[in-house]
Amino acid sequence: MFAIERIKIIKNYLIENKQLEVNILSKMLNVSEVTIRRDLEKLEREGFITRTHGGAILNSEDTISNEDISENTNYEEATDYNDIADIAIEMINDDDVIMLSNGIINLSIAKKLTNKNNLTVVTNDILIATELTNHQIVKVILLGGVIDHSTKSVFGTITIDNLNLFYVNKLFIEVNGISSNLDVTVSSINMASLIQASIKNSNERIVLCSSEAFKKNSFYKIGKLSEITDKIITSSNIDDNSKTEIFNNNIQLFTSINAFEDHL
Amino acid sequence: MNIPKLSLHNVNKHFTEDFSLQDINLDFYSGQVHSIIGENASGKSSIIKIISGIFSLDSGEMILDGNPVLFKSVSDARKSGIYCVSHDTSLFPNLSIYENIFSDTFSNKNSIFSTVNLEKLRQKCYELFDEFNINLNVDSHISTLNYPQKQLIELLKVYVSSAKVIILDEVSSSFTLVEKNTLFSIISKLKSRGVCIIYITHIIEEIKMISDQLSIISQGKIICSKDVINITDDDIITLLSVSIRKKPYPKLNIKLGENVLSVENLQVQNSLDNVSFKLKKSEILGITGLIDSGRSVLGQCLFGNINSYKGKIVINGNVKKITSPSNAIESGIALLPDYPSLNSLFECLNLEKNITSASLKRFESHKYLHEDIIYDVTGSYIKKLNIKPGNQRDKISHYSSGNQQKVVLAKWMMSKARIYILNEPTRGIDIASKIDVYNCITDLVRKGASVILISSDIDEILGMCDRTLVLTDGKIVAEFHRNEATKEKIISKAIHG
Repeated sequence: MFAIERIKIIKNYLIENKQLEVNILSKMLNVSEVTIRRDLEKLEREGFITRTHGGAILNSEDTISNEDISENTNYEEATDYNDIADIAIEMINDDDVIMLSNGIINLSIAKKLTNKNNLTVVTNDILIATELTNHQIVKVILLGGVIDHSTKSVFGTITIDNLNLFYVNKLFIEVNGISSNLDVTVSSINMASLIQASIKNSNERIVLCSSEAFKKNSFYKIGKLSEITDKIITSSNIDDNSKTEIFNNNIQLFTSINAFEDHL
Repeated sequence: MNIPKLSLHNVNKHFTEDFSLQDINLDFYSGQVHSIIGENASGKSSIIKIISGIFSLDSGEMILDGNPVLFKSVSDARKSGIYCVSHDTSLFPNLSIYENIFSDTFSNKNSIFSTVNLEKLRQKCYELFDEFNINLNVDSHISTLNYPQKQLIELLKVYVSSAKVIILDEVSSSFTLVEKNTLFSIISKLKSRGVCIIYITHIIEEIKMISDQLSIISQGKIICSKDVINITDDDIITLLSVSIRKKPYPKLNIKLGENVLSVENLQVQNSLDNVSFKLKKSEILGITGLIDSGRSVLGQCLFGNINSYKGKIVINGNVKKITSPSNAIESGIALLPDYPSLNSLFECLNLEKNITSASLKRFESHKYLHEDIIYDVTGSYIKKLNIKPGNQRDKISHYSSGNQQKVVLAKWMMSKARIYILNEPTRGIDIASKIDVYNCITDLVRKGASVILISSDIDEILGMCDRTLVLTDGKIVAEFHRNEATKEKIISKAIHG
């Protein structure tokens, strides 16, 4: 079970019961007592509880504000990106040359590349490049170009010229929208042309998006999903029609079902 | 010969988004045997159900003796002389053999007051048994017979009927050689009487032996219809192997670990013969074979439902005697049986109770179940597996089969089982649920659990499994690694052994 969910459950439990014992929670949530204690420390910092010997007591009710709830929705999104990145990581092997297009899911992937050997990453996203400077074993190639402030990435003809110097064996494309007839779209024309160029310079392509992408279309079209890729990774809560359509188009659909709680 | 007894013209029938019968054209002639072969779920049974009046058609027509017919029910079809024998027998268990054989002829009497001359029927039954060399007591109750014997009685029942068209749907699957010979002599007598026989089977030898025409069906379409003399075994296998789907299966290449399960010389009377195999951590092992190949028995045996097995089951290096499901569960083995609604769910309980039914120990403290934690943890599973509508108080019996299947999976995942035996996990469920099931499998092996996937869907086996075993008559006849497995090889091994 993911930390965010666990904290939510602990909060609910405390609101109901006003107090808790670490050992009981550790058994029921299938995590070690140390993990529960760490969660409690976090909740104590938030002013939600006061820790006691072997447990915790809820602070007065008015400390539970709307803030907690809004915070939770952000957490949920982050969890979702993280789960998608977990699947993507399984597709990356030692010695691979990959490209991560700009975006938050690809940033989550970058954060998880620590245990791969001899990896080369090409990216147009400054945040991804910065993140990867923490892992010395990964060779990072940051493309040049004009900085787009909102995405903190580079685009334009310089970027595409740079890109054409490389050939990657796996390209991870983060997209913004997928229509009901599986047209893939992104939010800017620069991004669309960058992705189109990178597709030509790649052996295998993997499309990434959250389930939100299936509810909306962006304006700039990259192409038909089935022409771009035979693999897509998305959230587990995408709608049934999209699932069926993707399967019927012979595309491998990975969803980030992160349900099994044991890591053996 | 030139005018078919029964024809289907451009018949279409829509079932689901995934499956429909498309433009079925078939001609069946009097005095001939027409075999239909195809994978499971290819549409064989659907065609039969249309001919025998269980399903109606969406479009196209059915022509009997040159006239279009429209059957609204099974009895409509019977009135026109169309009879069907399938794997489900429809005999009266508390009546004797001879009463059953002639039970259909009773209704032919004009008046309900006319008496039935039972003694005469009994006599006729003796003659019938003589004719076919059947060694059964005509007075025995049906309930005392075993399954192949019941099938035989069903056959005799249509033999004495006034049927003009007889559909035999996988009748031979449980038969030994002796019973098969009886079946073949019944068929040849029916042929000489001018009856038209539609024969459904998996077994190529039988087709060559008895039939005049052969049609091959795949994914709801007839892909070949020929005289049997013009077709070779290899042609049949090649045609059966035509795959329309490529591989939309979410399979990750996970590094396999140590052996977690070793099965050594497993023996179950009449079902499994010296079965040995190993399963590694994070592995998806496919097991396939024909209906009675022993594939389901193997699953049942590893889950402790068959306690008279011989052989060794070793889990994580320790020999375990698994003679009950609770032994199996303690050893971390979970079974998703075929037909979960019958075999694995508590129909009368709600969603939450079903999902937590294998994990109650986890939520207990001081003899008390923590309802609110149960509620939250169950909620998390329902959300992740997209179980819909997903209200925890919903009664499980109202859920679709896809959702029920996911409930059983959620139940075992929550109980932290480590070896999952999934028997036909995606049969008959919608595509969206299928994708959820496949991704659950991926989630499990990614985190170090292992999966035995028993399936008759060869595309699924090829798409999901690291390794595949083919069972025939209770024996492992072949093993294929992911990179060497093809549909053709698997089907050929499953059929020929």
